[in-house]
Amino acid sequence: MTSSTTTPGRRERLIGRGWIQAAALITIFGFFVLVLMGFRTYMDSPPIPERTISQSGQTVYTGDDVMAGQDVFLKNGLMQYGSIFGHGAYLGPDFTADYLHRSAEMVNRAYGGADSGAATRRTIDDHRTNTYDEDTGTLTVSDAQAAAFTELTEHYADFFASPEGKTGLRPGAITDPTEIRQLTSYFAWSAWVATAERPGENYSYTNNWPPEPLVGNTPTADTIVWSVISLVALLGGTGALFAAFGRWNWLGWHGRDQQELRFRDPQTVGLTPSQRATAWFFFAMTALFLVQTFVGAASEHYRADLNSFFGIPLDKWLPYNVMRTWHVQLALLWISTSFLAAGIFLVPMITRRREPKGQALLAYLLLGALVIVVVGSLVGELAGMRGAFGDLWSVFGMQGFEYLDLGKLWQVLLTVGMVFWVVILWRGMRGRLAGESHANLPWLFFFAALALPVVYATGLLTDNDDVFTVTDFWRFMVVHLWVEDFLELFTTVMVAYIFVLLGVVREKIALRVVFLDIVLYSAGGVIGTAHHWYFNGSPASVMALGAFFSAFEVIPLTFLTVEAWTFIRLGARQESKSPTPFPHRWAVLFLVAVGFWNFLGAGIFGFLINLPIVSYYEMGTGLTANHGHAAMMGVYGMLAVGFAIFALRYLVPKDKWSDKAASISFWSLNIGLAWMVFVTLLPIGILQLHRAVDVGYYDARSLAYVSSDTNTVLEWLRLPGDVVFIAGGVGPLLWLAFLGIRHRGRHALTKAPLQTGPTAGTAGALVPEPAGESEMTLFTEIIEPPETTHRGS
Amino acid sequence: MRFEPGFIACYTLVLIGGAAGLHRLGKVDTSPWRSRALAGYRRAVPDPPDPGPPAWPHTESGRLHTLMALVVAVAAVTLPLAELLRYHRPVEVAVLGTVALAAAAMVLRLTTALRR
Ligand code: HEM
Ligand SMILES: [Fe+2]
Repeated sequence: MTSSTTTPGRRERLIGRGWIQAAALITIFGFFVLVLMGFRTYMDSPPIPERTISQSGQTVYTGDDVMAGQDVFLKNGLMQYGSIFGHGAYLGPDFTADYLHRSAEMVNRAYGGADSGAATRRTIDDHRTNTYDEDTGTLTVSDAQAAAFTELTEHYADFFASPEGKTGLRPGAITDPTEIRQLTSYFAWSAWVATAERPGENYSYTNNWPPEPLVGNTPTADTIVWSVISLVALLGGTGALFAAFGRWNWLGWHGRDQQELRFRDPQTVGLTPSQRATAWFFFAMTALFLVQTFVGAASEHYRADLNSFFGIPLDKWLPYNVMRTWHVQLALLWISTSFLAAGIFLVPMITRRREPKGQALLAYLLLGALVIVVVGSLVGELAGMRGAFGDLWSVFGMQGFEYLDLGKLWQVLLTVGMVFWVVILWRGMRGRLAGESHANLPWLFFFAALALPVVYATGLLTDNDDVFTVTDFWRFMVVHLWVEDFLELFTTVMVAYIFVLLGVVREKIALRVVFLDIVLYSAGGVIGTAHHWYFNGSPASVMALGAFFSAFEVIPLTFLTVEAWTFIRLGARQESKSPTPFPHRWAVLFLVAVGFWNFLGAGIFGFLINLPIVSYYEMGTGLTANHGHAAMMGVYGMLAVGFAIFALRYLVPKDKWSDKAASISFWSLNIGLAWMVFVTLLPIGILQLHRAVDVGYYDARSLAYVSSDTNTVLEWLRLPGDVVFIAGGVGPLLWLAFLGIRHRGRHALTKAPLQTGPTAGTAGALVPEPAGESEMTLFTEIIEPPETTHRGS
Repeated sequence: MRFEPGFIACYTLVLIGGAAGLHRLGKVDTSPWRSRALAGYRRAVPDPPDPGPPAWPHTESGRLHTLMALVVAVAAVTLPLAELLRYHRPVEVAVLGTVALAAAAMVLRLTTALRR
């Protein structure tokens, strides 16, 4: 298809200007509001009083104590044990709610006990009246509150120094009395933030979170109103989208497709050195996946049985917080490894030319760097939690923010590694990009890749010396903006491009789907980040924006899922025409699973906990774990495995490849995940939510409740599913990846000499080839019948 | 009837409903010619071509749904049975037994559907 071009030397834009404008507008608007919310977060985050004194004039704790306490909290990995402001892990207590409840009970007792109405009123007054004096930086608390602080310091000393363990932490985890006092100060400050009314408002800095009747913490009017509005937004938005789809031919589908496809036998597709290098990436990925499931099983064991690990004192060396840190970090790491490899693998197919010299070397360097970061950061986390590294704990050891646990050095290195990856892609694609419109797939692929390090880099702004509310703002750039916006985009671009390269989807249709995706995901996803900031000390306006916009995130998840199969179907129809069989049955099935879990895990289970009023009681409980697992493994885990299966199909010779292994892995991963979700995570989550509403949030998060008989039974019941997942799901995958490194696509080098000169085209124009340069063999040979070739547009 | 077995009985019913829902969702026809995304196109073209019999991977997508539904149904049998070991007052046995039987019926239905 030769065409007139607007920019000389560039291929013409394949998509209407309106799409680009819509995408740009929505993204810019989203980020404008996001920056605005960041500004408000910085301005309105709760103060840390320089000094907190009792009415009788004694200093209770200082601002320095609070900040030092935050450091103790982070470097000991307590955010991977319990939570603060509801953010963190779910085995240990939420320390905000824990301190608040205990302190409120003590104050109440000091005033005459639960039966006395006067005591109840005084307790509430003590907590809600904001006695912070901004000018002097002094907070004055009642003598009863000060006495509770002293008593609770002893309580936490006992708890963290406990020599027999049985808490999930290392026995004698924190013994230094100064550190204990600082830690208690941090908890005390967070409890103050959670109850003292914001100046000029009748609710606390945290919108009255956590629920605690003793201090009059109940849902605010905003919490309820914005929940209703959020629900209306979801229903209205869904209706509007369906109406719009009924009106216009969005995807520009023009009926019968007559092109003929001949899928090349993977055996005959010659690979470039960098593509062959990805075999090692996929092997590393599966190995990390395996380790991740093992440490996950260990974390799970702590939930099922806190007291012993089959008689082995596991908590001495690998306590719960180390296991969970590794579990969470490895999830991000193995999935990223697959994405990096998939990017490298696709580039030569996109350019259809030999790659520049040294690409493979760069790929190996990247992998080497990745291994160093993985090993370095994991060991650092273990050592850091044991007190290594002195003042440099946050650089080498456990930085401690859940999901950004790795030390700053490793965090920087990982970011640099991803930038390095973008450079590799750029080197490979430079020639092709020069001849393309910026709105066409090759550039979109590049932009989507570039966004990954850029968004990840914002996580570097988390700082243990900042107020928690502010650090949390940056943390969720990675936790939310990555997974709920930019990874979804990267996914769509990758999948769309793979289908285009396979010839089963027209480039124009793929482009429209990508742009539709940008519009739909960015409409909710960017501002929707605020659904994590309902109760962390951000102002009420942030909650309102989060509730409203995050509702729109759900629409593409439920909508595109059904449509995505249509999209695949377009390909399937043509597949049947090919005289050679479609080689990617299992890779595509993993994509079908991605669609399924996007719908169930992200869409349904995400929205289940998304309304502020639900989140108010639910945050940091089992339903979050339920959603987190179904969405993270279900969507990005399955996708990462799908990429691996796709590439391995070319890396492993035909006679060694086993569709059986791919099939066992596919069904086992899905069955194991579904079992985990429906037998354990969902019922435990519902029970815990019920408990939080019925008895109290504090109680629902206590170790006593979490390790109660009911929970224990449900936790053990997941075992069969976990075994299926690990043995049947990861096992065969490891075998295939091992075959990958053993053969590394060597077979095709000798059997299929590179074709020279332009052969059949992909759906789109041919790039002008420099004379004499040979063209890569594509995955698919596409033969265009002359009558359907459109000229120009 | 104590709280826990009562909860599990209700949850089991939810699971049975969920299994039925998933199974149905897998049968939704996602032919491009009937897709909502192409509704505008359909209006413009009076007689869309025959979509033909459902083709792969749609058949597999249906299977994935049915299999997930089956996992849910097996879970729905397991939970009340596990609960019966802990709670066995007559009412509890009656209620948990009934929901377990209902779940077992669902398992049977889905296995038949999956074999086909
Ligand atoms: C594939 C997409 C998604 C992935 C991978 C994902 C993953 C996660 C993970 C891992 C967490 C736990 C964070 C933590 O413990 O701090 C989480 C929390 C949360 N997610 Fe998602 N999520 C996705 C989509 C969604 C969607 C679409 C919604 C709803 C609109 C949603 C709503 C929430 C909420 C409200 C929380 C906070 C729960 C809490 O703080 O306890 N998520 N998500
Ligand atoms: Fe989120």
